[in-house]
Amino acid sequence: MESRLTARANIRLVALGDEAVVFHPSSWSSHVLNAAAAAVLEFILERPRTRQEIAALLQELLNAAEQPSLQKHVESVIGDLCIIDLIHEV
Amino acid sequence: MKSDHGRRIGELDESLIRRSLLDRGLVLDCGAARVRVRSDVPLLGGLLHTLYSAFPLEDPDGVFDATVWLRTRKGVRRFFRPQVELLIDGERPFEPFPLDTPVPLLEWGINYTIATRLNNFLLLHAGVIERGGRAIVLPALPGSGKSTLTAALATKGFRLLSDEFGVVRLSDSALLPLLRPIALKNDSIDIIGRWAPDAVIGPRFPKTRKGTVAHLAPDVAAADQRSLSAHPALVIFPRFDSAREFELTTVRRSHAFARLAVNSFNFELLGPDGFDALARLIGQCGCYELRYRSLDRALGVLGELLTVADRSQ
Repeated sequence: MESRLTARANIRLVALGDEAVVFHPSSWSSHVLNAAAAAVLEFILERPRTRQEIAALLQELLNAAEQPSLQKHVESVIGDLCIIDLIHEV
Repeated sequence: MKSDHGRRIGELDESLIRRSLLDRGLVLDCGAARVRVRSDVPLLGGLLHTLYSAFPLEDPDGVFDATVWLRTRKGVRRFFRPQVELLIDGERPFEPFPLDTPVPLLEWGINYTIATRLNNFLLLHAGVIERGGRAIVLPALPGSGKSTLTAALATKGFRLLSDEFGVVRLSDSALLPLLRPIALKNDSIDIIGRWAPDAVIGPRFPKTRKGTVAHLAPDVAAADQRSLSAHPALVIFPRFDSAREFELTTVRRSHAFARLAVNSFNFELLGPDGFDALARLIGQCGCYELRYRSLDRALGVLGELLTVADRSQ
């Protein structure tokens, strides 16, 4: 079965313009998320998502110039969100 | 807390203030915080009479956020180098100062007390002024000219809430006054003296760790409204720039959030409450960076931005 990415419980995500800020409930750290990271985190907060679902979302959101490097974007966003412990793989 | 028949500190005889300082203390009701000052420094009575003239005279018995005691230092060294030391509820957070600079020590002592104790609010390091119930937050960054701009606005039609602390109520992100004299440094003293000739500026204290310091006294209107909150409307990151007439650029709200969080006294301490309060505040504000050379021009533009913010509400 394909793994899914799930969000840590009790995250606070607030959209501010085309970006967002997020509060980590355990470390009490705050982070600024760019549009792509904010969209992906909000998407995962709805329910756990597969990499394919996240790629489909970003394909829809990214502009034409960014499309060729879609897979790189997907891994970069997922990696960044994992590093700051907002999401993890299950 | 009970006021003394609506009298103001400035209406008291200086000798009475000195006696109060020696006895039960003089209460400074700054709005979001109340501080009781006690002192045996003879010079201080007259200085508080000038700088806190507009503040109401309050009963010295009651509940205070801190009791600050400024006292002349004892010991043999006092014959050669008289000094004053600051005690906050019995603790001495700073090294003593020369006896002739009691106000900078008192003001920094009160700042220290507020920054370390007033954790029922989110405390931003910022000046705050208001017009028509809508507040402008002016965050303090090194070299920003924050106090100069705050003083300039406060003497030309805006109400001063605070020069040092943006006090954010956690429940709704309203900004509360924490009214104190504005500490002007070096060239700013003459700039504001020329800008507002009728403003009351206290004596100059040279050779402090911030250079020469003098304090601008809050006016009666600001003192009378020290319990009146304001809604956040603008966050302006000011920067005095002698090479540039004027430049206003939009700051992304997410970046303004990060800059205010880093510059806050207690954002990390408050955790989710601080995060929610700051995110709510930023969500209600237009955020800009203002580079300016002319106070007149800065005043005009900030007034226009506030008018636009009013219309969009």
